[in-house]
Amino acid sequence: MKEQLQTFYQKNKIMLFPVVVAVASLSLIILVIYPQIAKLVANQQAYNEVLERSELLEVKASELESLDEDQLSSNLSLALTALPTDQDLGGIIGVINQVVSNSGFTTVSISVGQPSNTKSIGSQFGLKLEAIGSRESLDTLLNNIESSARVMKVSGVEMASNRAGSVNVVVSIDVYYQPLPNTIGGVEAPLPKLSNEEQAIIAKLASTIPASSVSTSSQTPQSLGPRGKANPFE
Amino acid sequence: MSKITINLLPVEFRKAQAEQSKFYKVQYLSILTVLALAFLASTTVALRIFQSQSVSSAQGNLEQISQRVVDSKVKEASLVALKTRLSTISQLSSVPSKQRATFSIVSNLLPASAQISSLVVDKAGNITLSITSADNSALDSFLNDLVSYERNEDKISEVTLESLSRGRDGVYRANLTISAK
Repeated sequence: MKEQLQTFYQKNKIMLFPVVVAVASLSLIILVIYPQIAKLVANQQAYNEVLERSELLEVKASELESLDEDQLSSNLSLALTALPTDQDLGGIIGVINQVVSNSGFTTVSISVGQPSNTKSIGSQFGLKLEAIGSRESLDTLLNNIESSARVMKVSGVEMASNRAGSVNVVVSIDVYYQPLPNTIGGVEAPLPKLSNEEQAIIAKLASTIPASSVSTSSQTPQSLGPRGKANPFE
Repeated sequence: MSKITINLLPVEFRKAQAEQSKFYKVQYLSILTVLALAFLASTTVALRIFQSQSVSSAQGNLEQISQRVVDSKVKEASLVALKTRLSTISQLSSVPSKQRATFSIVSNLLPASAQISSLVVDKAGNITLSITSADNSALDSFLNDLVSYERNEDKISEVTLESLSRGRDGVYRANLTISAK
């Protein structure tokens, strides 16, 4: 048997040797080289993705680290004074009274309506202001309402002249507020940038809102959440 | 002088020698192929190991940077809150309300001799106005100004004179409905 095999090999070795080598080569290619190259390509893609994410996050981290925390907190306080997270009825009555007296009017009454969030931009509630003053100052009053420290829009006006030469006005006002966003996006979410227009709004707010009106508490989104225990009986 | 070579080996031996020589060539090429493939295989494996280290290192770096971002989460939250708030303020404050704009135009166009008895600006910005004036030309000018595109800043679409009367005292009383655009 052994001799037969040897004879067979001697006779066909010129054919057998390349066949064995070809089988070995193919096995090497199929079992080692191809899987390795496929993994190499896949890993390269993963590596590139990791590098890309690193670059983006590096930029974001640098931008975040370069932000002035005090300035940011101060700007946020201004924005929260202009557009609070809730109705802030105490604050709005103070603002309205100030606007009315600055416009040369006298407040007769202020009544507050129900909040609604039917509009796409923020939530709002209605407020009715009844005041007495001169007709010439009414335009100033409406202008002052819309450019005051709180974001407000005039939604209706009723005016009647009285015998004393002054006018009674009832101004319907939409007062806006906006709850804080629930999420700030993932780690890789791009950092929002303030446009020139928004910088101008901050500057305007800083000049409009007196320092005493700005909330002095540490205004971070965490600190502005609901206070107290979820269940007071626990 | 040319060389003369004569192969005196037997034919069978020569044939066997040629076959052996051919086999050596095949063997040489086969071994070369196997060696080349083995080199390729070991290179790819080495590259993979090297690449895995690079990926691990890059992932470690990414985690460090992610941690830096997470550490600044409060700043990011403040910035997001500020941005959304400013964006809303910008949308709400960019233009005056229709009610104020229409009232402002009417107020500016109203002649000094005219007095407003009553005025209502509704939710749509339309104005219902009662005015009195002793000067009919001022009243006429006021009505003309209200319907003029240049004077009304193209913010009034229609002016309806509901009633116009002149009292015994010579004072004109007009009721107007002004529709905002």
